[in-house]
Amino acid sequence: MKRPLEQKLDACLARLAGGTDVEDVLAEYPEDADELRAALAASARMRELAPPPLQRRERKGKLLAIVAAHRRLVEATEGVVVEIKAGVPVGEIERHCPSALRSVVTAARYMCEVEPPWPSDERRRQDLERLRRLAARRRQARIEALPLRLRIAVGLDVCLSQLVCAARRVVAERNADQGYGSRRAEYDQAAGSAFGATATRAGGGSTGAGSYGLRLGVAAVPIAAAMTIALLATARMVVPAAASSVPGEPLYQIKRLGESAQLFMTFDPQQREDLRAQLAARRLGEMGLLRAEGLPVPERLLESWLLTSGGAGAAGGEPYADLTSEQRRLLADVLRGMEANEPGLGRRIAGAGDLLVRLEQDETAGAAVASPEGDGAADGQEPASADLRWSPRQQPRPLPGDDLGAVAGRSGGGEEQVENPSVGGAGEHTASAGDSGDVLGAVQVAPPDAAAGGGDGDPAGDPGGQAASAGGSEPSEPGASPAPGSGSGSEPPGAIAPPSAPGMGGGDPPPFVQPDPGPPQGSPEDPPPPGSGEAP
Amino acid sequence: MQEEHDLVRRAQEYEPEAFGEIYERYYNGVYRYIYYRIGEQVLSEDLTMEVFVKAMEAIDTFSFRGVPFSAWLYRIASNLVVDHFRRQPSQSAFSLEEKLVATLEQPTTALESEFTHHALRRALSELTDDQQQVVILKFVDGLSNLEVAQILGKTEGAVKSLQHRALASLGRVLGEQGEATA
Repeated sequence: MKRPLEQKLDACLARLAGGTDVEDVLAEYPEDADELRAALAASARMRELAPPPLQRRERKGKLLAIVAAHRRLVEATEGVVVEIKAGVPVGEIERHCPSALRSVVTAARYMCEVEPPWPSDERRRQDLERLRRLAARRRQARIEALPLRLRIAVGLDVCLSQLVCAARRVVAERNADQGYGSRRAEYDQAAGSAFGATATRAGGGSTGAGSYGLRLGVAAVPIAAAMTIALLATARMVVPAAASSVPGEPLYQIKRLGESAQLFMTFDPQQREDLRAQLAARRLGEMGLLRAEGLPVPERLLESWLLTSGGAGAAGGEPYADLTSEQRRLLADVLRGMEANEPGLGRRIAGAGDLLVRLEQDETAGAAVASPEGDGAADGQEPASADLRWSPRQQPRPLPGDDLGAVAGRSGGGEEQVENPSVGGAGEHTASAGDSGDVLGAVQVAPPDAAAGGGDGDPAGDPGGQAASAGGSEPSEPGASPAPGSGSGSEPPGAIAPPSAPGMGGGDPPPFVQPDPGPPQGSPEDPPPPGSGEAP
Repeated sequence: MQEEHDLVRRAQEYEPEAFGEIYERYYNGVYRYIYYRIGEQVLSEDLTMEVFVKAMEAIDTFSFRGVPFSAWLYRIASNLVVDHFRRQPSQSAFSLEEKLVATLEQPTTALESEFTHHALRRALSELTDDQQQVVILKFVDGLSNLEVAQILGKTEGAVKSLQHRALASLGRVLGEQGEATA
């Protein structure tokens, strides 16, 4: 219940809201005029600060209208600026822009047209030279601030990284036709950036690959050369050890790198083709090794063989045309295994599906005329390992460019100088005959023990070129090109007599050359060892 | 953008050629920015060179964080201009050179007269600092509202609004100057 004074105040406020004057309102309550006056004054002040809702809405509406108009002007100004910069004629802009923006148009126009007084060319040239000198001085100071060993380390790191990156780029370009291009290019970039990061960390600043090495100039050249020689020497020791590695082993990549380098260093087209054939034989030998050890054959290995087998496979030809029956059987086993593990092999690897079909057709055709002495498959033994005359960790078959003399003189002795291909090496002996003697002995023993390959004389032998030829075989004249297995006469008729490999010419030895099958067993004509002067 | 990244990376290695490229690429814009804020040619040339020297000294600290390299340069230029004004607070907005030239100018009419850079500089001096920077940066190298906002540390909306007010004021001052000289 309001007090009487409060009720009077309400009445007075109501009358004031209606527009009555304050004095007229107070005149109705003379006894309370003093108290009411103060209260009414406070009320009036409050009304000024907080206008009634209607007035609030009106004022808010006006404010919003002003803001919207300003926003339109701001956007219109932006449009005028864009048109001025775009070269729209000023007259055309002024025709359609609001009058309030005429001054904006004028200002924008002169901002675009008026040029400041430019410095002279001489002044700019002097400033530029000064800037370059300062940059060169700071760069030199940064290098000199590094400890000597760090400077050398950074310089060597960068020099070697440039060397490796350049070599990898060249190899990648050479292998581009084999499908390695994009992957290798990415690897090169990653390797380059990795080395660059190393240089950055060593340099203590944001530097790029190659910067410090180049700047160290002459001082780094002999050091880098010494390191490069050491690297090559190390490679010549490591690569032979890696020569018998198979996919999945740590040294396999080094082996492949050595092969790529050797291929890169071979410039003669014919020798390149021969080398490609040898490398394809190696891939096949690796497959045989993996199968013999019960390991899965990686699809990349098959892909690599398809691409390197004389180039014919990649071109849609018949990459297996020169294979022996055992090699074909191996391939068929490998392909069937891959297809069983993951169907759709033909979609993943170009040519694999057709190859498998063709191989199976050959098998079907050749099964009816299989040799009575049997081969590996007929006897239930592993054809791949025995018939391939395989002994793990053997020294690799020498490749063109190696010392051919000892290889060619395989006839007399029971030992053979086995050459190991090295990076860019040619004709260097990295394995002595003595080292290979025991290996060769193992090779020689294996064929007679293994009933699989011994009887038919089918020199399935060494498709990968890994096994060293045994001594005691009859020498073959260079250039003789007996068909694989043809000498024994046990070659199934269904087997395709290998024509000359592409680019090798008639009369050339087949690309996949088998090792000497040991004691002659119906194989009077042994194929010549690879590299024994078979150049056409 | 990648080209700018490579250029900055080379500059961070103190390649003289990289700094030469940076100088050639950004000199005009930085000089024009400084000149319209300072008003003196020789001093503007010196300060412009100083911008690139400062950039070289601090190049290791620069990294691309969504801000272009040019924005970083203009920020250095802005700081140098502010330092210059702080060192010489007693100087008027117009240099002696500008005052001398102003007395010799006799344009025919307000809008038909060829406004010289002196007149423009005088008009720009009537603007606030933010307005000056917005107008100069927008018309110097054709910087976008976003780039100007990044340089000044403002929003795009604020840059647009400043641009409108600046151009409106500039146009009014230029008109008044033209009427005064007519």
